[in-house]
Amino acid sequence: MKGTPYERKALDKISLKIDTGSIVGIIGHTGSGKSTLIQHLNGLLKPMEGTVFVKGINTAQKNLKELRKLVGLIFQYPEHQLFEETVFRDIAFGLYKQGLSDEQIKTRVYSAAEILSIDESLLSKSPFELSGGQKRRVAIAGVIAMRPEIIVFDEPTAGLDPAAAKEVYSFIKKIHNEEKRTVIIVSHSMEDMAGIADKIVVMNEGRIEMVGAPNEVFVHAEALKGMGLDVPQITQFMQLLSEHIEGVDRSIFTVEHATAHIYHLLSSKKGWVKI
Amino acid sequence: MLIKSEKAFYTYNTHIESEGAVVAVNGVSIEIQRGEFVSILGRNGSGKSTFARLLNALLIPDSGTIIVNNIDTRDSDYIWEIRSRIGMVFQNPDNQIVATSVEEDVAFGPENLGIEPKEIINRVNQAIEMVGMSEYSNHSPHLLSGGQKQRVAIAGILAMKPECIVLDEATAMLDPVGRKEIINILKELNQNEGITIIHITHHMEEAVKANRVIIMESGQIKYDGTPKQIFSKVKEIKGMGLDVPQVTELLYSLKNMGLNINESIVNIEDAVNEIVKLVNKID
Repeated sequence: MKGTPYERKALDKISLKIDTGSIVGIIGHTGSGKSTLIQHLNGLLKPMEGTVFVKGINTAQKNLKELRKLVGLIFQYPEHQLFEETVFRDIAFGLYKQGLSDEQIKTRVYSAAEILSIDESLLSKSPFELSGGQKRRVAIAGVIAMRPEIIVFDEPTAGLDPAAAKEVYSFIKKIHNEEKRTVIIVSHSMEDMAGIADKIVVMNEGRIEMVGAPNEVFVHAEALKGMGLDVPQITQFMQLLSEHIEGVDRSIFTVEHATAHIYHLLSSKKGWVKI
Repeated sequence: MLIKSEKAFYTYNTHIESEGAVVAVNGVSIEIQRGEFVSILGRNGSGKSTFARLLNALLIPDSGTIIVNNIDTRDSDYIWEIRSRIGMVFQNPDNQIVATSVEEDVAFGPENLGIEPKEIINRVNQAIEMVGMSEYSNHSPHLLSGGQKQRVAIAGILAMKPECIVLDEATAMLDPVGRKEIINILKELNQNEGITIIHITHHMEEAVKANRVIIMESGQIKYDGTPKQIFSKVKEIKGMGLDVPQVTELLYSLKNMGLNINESIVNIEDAVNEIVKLVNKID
């Protein structure tokens, strides 16, 4: 709210490059500017200073049709935006607006449903008959059907149980690997991002504090904690262990990697006898 | 004993022919003592939330009984008595705000109980202090962070002098800082005030803070025990679509690789000690 006592700088001189085909995690606590940042990517918000370019398109321009086709934004709890009579119509909603033929629409809806493992039998049902995890997949399919090159997820697993959350991440991986989309994920969860992102952007008070591969970022456990963030439990464990035992890698962030590392460490000791 | 559930059943009618009725709570028998800190885990649709709603008579079991403080929840004469004893905090912080200042919001509960104004002021101030929100008492709740809003919701319950607080995924929409704030307050209320806590969550690192963990599946109680007892069943828990703490999983994998290791460990410090012990043995 400009000019009022509530005026607050949400983003402060952000410079960031995201490569085509990458999968980027944006992490920060509530109010750090993550959501404001992603709304700049498809022109929902425009920078007051500076510029944002997406594949050569300046987001400040008036005609945003091209940009919106290029960047699909999936908000938090996207299932709250379901409203159509059938799952099919909900997934197809954006396509109707694009003036595609019925045949094209059908093809796109079916392929989006397939990517997200939505069974054909569900397409004729009301979205409100589905379970929470299914609804979320339908809402995501609605954006995938538009075939944007860049897909931005805001907290894609909020409120889901661990198994449903894993499912959503496996779909995101599939969209990235098989459909070759650029994926940007906003999340609070360091553990989740450690498992999926090839680059992590840490935001704090409207600024970018760190950018790097997960292991490069998680080494700075203390700094992250200071920003109200958490490093994965397994990384905290490795860092504490390194204070007691020599040769422990402080940047490990997956359980598999930690298991192998510790086993190797133990078995290379002189007195090692397998028990 | 505070809560006793005996063969409780609850069924939702979906009004959708193909699906028919959904049995959400399918014969739950359990006792919860005063002063316990219980975490309830389970997949979405496992019946956790429905069971929570049975505890303060938001829902009444189709069959079986729920006894709270020696009162049967079916006895509609005592429904307000039960609800002032057992307070609930829900998932979405924005849905629980009723007033334009923190103070007024916290006063809403005791006002409705018909408590004297002077006593209300005392209770409200005390409750707001207990959740560490005193400096915000005149603030407008809608400008607070999610974690702060949930603290206000907890204060609103505290002002009714409850014996038990039930949190139905109250941390699901919060960031790590907000979640920690809430867990610390719950721990304090449990230890210092003796308030019984029933915390429904998907976050295992929160569940390990409880004294007792209950896992629900298909409307029934599948496991019930201390965090160590429950999370050392790594294979079973993962098979149910749930997670165990990462360090527990690590020790479990090392054990499976043939190491002589104790895998019923749920926190970082204990896990480090276990590995250090092993290294010293080898050296």
